[in-house]
Amino acid sequence: MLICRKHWIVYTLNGFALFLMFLLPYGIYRLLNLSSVLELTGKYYYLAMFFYVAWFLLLWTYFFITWTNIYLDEWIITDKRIIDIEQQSLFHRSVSDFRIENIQNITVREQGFVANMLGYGSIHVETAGEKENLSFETLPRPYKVRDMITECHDKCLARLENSGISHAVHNLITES
Amino acid sequence: MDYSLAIPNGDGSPITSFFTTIPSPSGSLLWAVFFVLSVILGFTTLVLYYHWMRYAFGNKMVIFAQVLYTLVLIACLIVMLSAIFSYV
Repeated sequence: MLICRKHWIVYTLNGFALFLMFLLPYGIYRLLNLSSVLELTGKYYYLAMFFYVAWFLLLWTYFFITWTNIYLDEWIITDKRIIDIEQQSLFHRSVSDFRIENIQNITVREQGFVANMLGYGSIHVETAGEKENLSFETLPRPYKVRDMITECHDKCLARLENSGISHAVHNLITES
Repeated sequence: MDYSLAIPNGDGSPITSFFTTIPSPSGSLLWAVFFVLSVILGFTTLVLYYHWMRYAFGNKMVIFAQVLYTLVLIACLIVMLSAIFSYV
């Protein structure tokens, strides 16, 4: 069994964007030279601290909301099926189940300099029939995942042949 | 420190004019902000805990995130409380 989650770059970029947001009020304060107008001394220091910590807390919570959404978005690959869990938001989650013998084509794409250097990419799995195809973006080591799916697929087909059930018949059974 | 002491003569710019007209927020306003923020964060924390417990129970990374999130959250709330007490 293999559990696939997003590459760490996704979390890092998200965290970096929020870190910039955290620095934004201080940056505005410095860039507009507000220190000459609004001196943060005495009790105004505590006032500024209060609002800055409040701002930080909102960003901190938002970071964990997005982290949870990204982290719970996963693929579980077994020797019989692929379970695609899509966590789009905290209140929007869908789970799809695909039998591994129905896979027809797997496409792996590593696009861009950063993706090639860090070894992440997207994987697209086409399945037989009218079912929706699977795809997963920013997946770490996508070639390894493709190899594993292919291996499981081959084993599954061999198992079916050994049991005397042809692929077409098996598809009919599973679809009905 | 008196707020007015921190205000220079001014250069007449809109920014200067804006900040010289900001009144000092009262302590009760800060308490109200703190209360509203606590309610929002409390609800969000419950939702996050629900997801972590239901979909990733026992996962080491999630446990680490849970501990880190909670500790920082509590520390920040304590800092905010102390800031209110120091301000009032």
